[in-house]
Order: sequence, then C-alpha cells, then structure tokens
Amino acid sequence: MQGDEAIAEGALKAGMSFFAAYPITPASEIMHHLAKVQSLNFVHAEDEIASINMIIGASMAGAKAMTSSSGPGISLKQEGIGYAHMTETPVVIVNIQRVGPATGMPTMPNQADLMQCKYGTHGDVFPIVFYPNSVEECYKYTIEAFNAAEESLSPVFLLCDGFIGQLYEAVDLSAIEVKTKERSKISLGKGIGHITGLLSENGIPKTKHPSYYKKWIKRIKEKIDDAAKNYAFYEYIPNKKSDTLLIAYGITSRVVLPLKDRYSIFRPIRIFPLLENELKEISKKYKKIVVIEMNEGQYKNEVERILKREIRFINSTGGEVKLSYIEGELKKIK
Amino acid sequence: MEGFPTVWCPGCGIGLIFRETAKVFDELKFNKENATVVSGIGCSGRSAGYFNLDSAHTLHGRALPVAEGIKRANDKLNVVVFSGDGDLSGIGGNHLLHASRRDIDITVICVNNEIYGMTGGQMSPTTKKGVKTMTSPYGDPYEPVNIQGIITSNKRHFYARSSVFHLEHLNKCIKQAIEWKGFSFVEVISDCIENNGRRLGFKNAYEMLISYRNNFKINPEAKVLDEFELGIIKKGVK
Amino acid sequence: MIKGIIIAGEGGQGIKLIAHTLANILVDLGHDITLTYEYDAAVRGGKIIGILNYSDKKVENPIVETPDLFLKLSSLGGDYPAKKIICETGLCNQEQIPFSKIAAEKFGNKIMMNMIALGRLMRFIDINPDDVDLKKYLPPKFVEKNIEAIKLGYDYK
Repeated sequence: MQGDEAIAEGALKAGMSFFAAYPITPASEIMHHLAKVQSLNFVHAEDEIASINMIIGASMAGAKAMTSSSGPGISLKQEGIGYAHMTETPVVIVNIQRVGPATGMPTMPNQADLMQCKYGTHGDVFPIVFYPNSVEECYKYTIEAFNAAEESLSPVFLLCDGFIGQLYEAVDLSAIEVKTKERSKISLGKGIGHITGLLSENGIPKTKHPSYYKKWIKRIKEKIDDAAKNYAFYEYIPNKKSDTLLIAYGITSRVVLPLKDRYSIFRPIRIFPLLENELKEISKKYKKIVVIEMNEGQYKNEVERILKREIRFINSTGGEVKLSYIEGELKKIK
Repeated sequence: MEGFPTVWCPGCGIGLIFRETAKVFDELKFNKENATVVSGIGCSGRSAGYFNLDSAHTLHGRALPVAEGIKRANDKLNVVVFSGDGDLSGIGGNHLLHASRRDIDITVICVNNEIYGMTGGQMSPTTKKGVKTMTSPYGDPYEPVNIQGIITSNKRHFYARSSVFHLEHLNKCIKQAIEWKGFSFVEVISDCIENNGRRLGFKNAYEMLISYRNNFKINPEAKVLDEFELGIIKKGVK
Repeated sequence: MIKGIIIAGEGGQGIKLIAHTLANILVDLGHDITLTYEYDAAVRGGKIIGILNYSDKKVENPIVETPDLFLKLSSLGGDYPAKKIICETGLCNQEQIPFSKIAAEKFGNKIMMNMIALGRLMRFIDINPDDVDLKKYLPPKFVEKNIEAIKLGYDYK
C-alpha cells in the first residue's frame, strides 16, 4: 500500500464523510483513491480555495471533512485555514510536502512547511500538527488527526512528505487498533446560531472589544493545549553509549534510523504544539543535540528556543536525503 | 443590542431585500432545521446574523464553496446565499462559474449595488462603463461582467433580475428561485447612497429608487434580459 | 540483511510491473519491503526507476545509495554504484542480456522484455518461479505469456 493510499484509508476509517480537493503532485493519489469510494461525498473542486471552504462548510453542517494538497495549495488555503481556527471548525488538512517556494520541485520531497502550519495564516493561531514516517503511520495518524480535530475543534494538519506519500510498504490494516472520536459541537441546522469569521461571542460580533479578544485568545490557547495533551506522540530510541541525541522526523527519521546503534534518536510525531516537556526531559543527559531535517532549520530553531542551548544542525535539501551525507556531517560535529 | 436595528446606512437597499427575503422564508416556513443562510464579505454579508436561523458569515468570495459544503453534508437544509456583486462576481467569480455549472441546489441572492460599498466606494465588476468611483476617478474603463451570461451559459439555469423598487416582483423572484431545484441566482439592483449614489449626483436614496422605477421595466416574455429589463430566465426540468 | 535493488528503464517498458510483482512476491515470502519510484514528467519517453528494499527485519532506510543489484533496461536509466549490474545489451560493463531481442524472437513483441528481466532478477535473488503462484500478482490479460517469459528469464544462461 502507498502512503497516500493509507492516508485515504485512514480518513475513511475515521468516519470522514466529505472530501474536497484539487489535484496536485504528490498528493493526487489521495484524490484518486477517494474518488472511487461511492459512498463518500467527494468533490473535485475548482481550486484550492474552494476545497478548504467547502470542507469548512461541510464540517459546520456536521460532517467529518478533509482536504489534501501540497505547498502551493496550502499557501492558497491560508485564509480558509484561519477561518477554521476562528470559527472552531474541526477539519483535517493533509500536506504532502514538496520543495518550494512557488512551483519549486514538484516531485521532490521536503520538510519546509512546518512553520507554515503556524505562521502561514495571519494572526496568532495554535495548530495541532502530526507527521508520520511510514505507510502504517500514515493510516494511524490520519485517524488521530480526525480525533484531535474533534477534541480541539480546530483544523489539524497531517504533514507528510513526497517520499513517504509515494512510498509502498507492506501493511496489515486490520491489525491496527483504532479508536475514533465523535462530533461534540452542535451543527449548522441543529441550533448553533450564527457563525462568523469576525471575532465574536455567541454569534455577536465583538470587533471593538480588546478585552474580549484577550479572553478569547487565552481560551483558544488553553483549549488546544488541553486537547493536544492526549496526542503527545513521539518515538524515543535511547542508546546508552551515546552522548549525542539525534532529532529527526518524516523521511529523514527513516534514513537515520540505522544509526541507532551509535546514537540516541528522538522522533517527534506531534510537531505542534511542540513537545516541550518531553524535549526538556529527554535532552537533559545529552552533551550534543543534532537536529537533522530537510529545510533551513525550522524544527531546530524551535528546539533551540525551548531548550535555550546550542543545537547542532544538519540539513539535507533540494529533495535529496542520503545516509552517507548525514553520516559524514555527523563526524564533523565535535 | 449594538447591532440593532441594523448596521446599514439609512436608505440602503439591503434592508429592502432582506425584508422580502424574510417574508419569503416565513411563507415557506423556514426554521433552524430546514434552512440556513450563508453570507460573504461586504455590507450584505452582515445580513446572515439577522435571520432567525443558523447561519454562516464567510470569507470574502467564499460564500459559494461554504454553502456547497453545507448543502452536500446536509441536503435537508435549504441553503440560501446572501451576498454582494463584488463578493460573488469578483473575488468569488471562479466559484460562481463552477457552483452554477455543478447545478448545486442552493439559491443565491445577489445585492448588486454596482460598487464596493463597505470599503469606501471602489469600482466593482458590475460597475457600468464610464462611472466614476474611488478607483476609477476618470470613469470605469471596462464593461461590466455579464452575470446573466455566466448563469445562462449552463444547460440548466435559473437567473432572475429584480430591483429594490420592484418589491412585489422581487418577492416573486426570490420565492421561485428557492423553489427551483438546482442552482438559482437572483440579481437585485440595489442602491448604495453613501458610497456610490452620492458621488453620482443622487441627493438621497429615494432619488435612486425612482431612477430604478424609471429606467427598469419588467419583461415577463424575455428570453434574454436587456440591460434595463427585469425578469426570470430559466431553463431545464430536472 | 537488507538488500536494495534498483530497476531502471523508460516509461512504457513496464518497469512498474517488474517492481510491484517482485515486491508482492517478497512480501508473501515473509520479507518486509519498501518500494518507491522516481520518474520524469513524460509518461512515455522519460525515465522511470523503481527502488526496492527487502529484508527479513523491518526496512528502516528506504533510500538506496549503493544497490546490491541494478537492472538497467534503457539508456535513460542512469547509473548507480551497484555491486551487481544486469542490463540490456550495450548499456553496461557487467552482465548484458539481449532482453528485447529474446522477447521479439520468442513472443513476437518487445514489450515482453520486462517479464524476462523479472525472471532473471528472481534467479539472482534465488526465487524459483515454480515455487510461487505467479498468477496472483500478474494482471489477468496475457498472464500465461507473462509467466512463460518469467520462466524463460529465470532459466536463461
């Protein structure tokens, strides 16, 4: 099964009943797979912006909804993503990352859209973001993304990369235990009242009330933090002999996995909110911490900010990630 | 109580369209379980919150995809989009092409005041050629977008045009549009006295309404509506 | 023991069928696999590469830098520092097999070359086509011919 396919299957298992998307490499396979499911409310939308707004509308009306795209499409969707945050509408957004910016390298995998999840839309938002590193995890964490969306009443990102999305692996889905969360918020047509993109309280716009905004943003932040506690996913492979901790995720974490006989490895699966407590606790006993990723330091900057210590950095860019290169760079780190 | 009676300027045509719409909703026995209103951004966008229904006030230009998402997820709801000319035919133009092409069963009421009112009076895609606005101080250089053409280019279509002066006709158009199975569009010629009419030489909203009475004629026999005709153009039985 | 195989050719040669079939066979034999493709935009006339890993443990790194085996069926297939290379005539310095010629002679159609190549791959990995239910993995159309071609490639000296 392919990663993209596993994401589609995970969404269906989670109870997704509405899907709208626009074709884009390397995510189109998700659309192809879901188009065949006749019981699914499937829309090949006219553009990326229509997709995000349609799934928000469908979710407002009670459906579990998802869209899938890649960098250029996610860029187009930003206002819509903000709308989902503001209206507290649960939706899942899949980003199979490719090299950017703009049209970039459509068939080359990348990991440079992390900060876009948080800073792509205007204003302050607190996204929940998961990033699997295998076909099986694509299935599992798509389901968890839906659960987290329901619990946090917000848009949740399922980040992936062109490599894992296009990767084929042998999986036995029936062997994977799954729990799903149901819709708790009242839907449109069942008495929710007025929903608006303006700052509002119970449907009444509060556009001139700074004190209300302060209350609101505090509530939102706490809401996300509370929900995210139940989704603190990560993998930690300690190596007793190592004084160095490698941090990697997605395809990079697969490539460096053979190094576990020499180094300890920490793999965040929940990218946002940052696994602050876990990072602080685990990093204590390591002399050196090296973040290895396919971007200019998006996760590394966050780790540095949280741990307030020097973080080493190896990046593999342009769509290529080779173990031989990473090993070479690691040797240089004193 | 801050939003009451309404946020609109005295003389604004939106109030008249809102009232006729509300009358039709009452007549058709709309309630929270069987109807919802979706609005866009602009002065007309503020309307959604005033209906006694569940409603969604969306992003600029995106009322149509949100409405389509709602309808597809719960087709027991009568979904009515209430928005303006800029929101629906400008930034939302692409969605208008495709929502009408997909013939999704929603009704769109378009307040066409031929201006971007909320932001101070810039030209809109429906502003007539030669009209002076904040972004066309020497006159709009372009012909307006042909919404009738866009809607009627589809094999099945329902396009109605009325005005805020011809209230009985407007009521009829809205009712028929809602009863139509499929995508229906009601374009309502409306006045924006503060950010448009005032600059065109009208002294007050009343003068604008009288100009609609004088210039527009209802043509029930039309197959295509001329520039100053009002009527209903529909084709196709489901 | 993790083995990496790169199968390279041109769009239209049936590279995907080789790689997918081999991957499925290996899974049924109890191996873990990862399979990924790299291709050009052109569906025909561009290169396509299948990158297959198999192991009796879980495959960790799916990226192959030094393949244990590189099968090159087209000049567009590129070059890799492989331990063992099998190729169509004239495309490498190691084992060369005239796959297209054999396909044309035995089946009257060059397209069968991919299944002959698959047979040769299977001999390298030590999987006897007779021990495997090939029908399970191949498309129903031309399945008998395909099985014949695989066996031919397996037995080819």
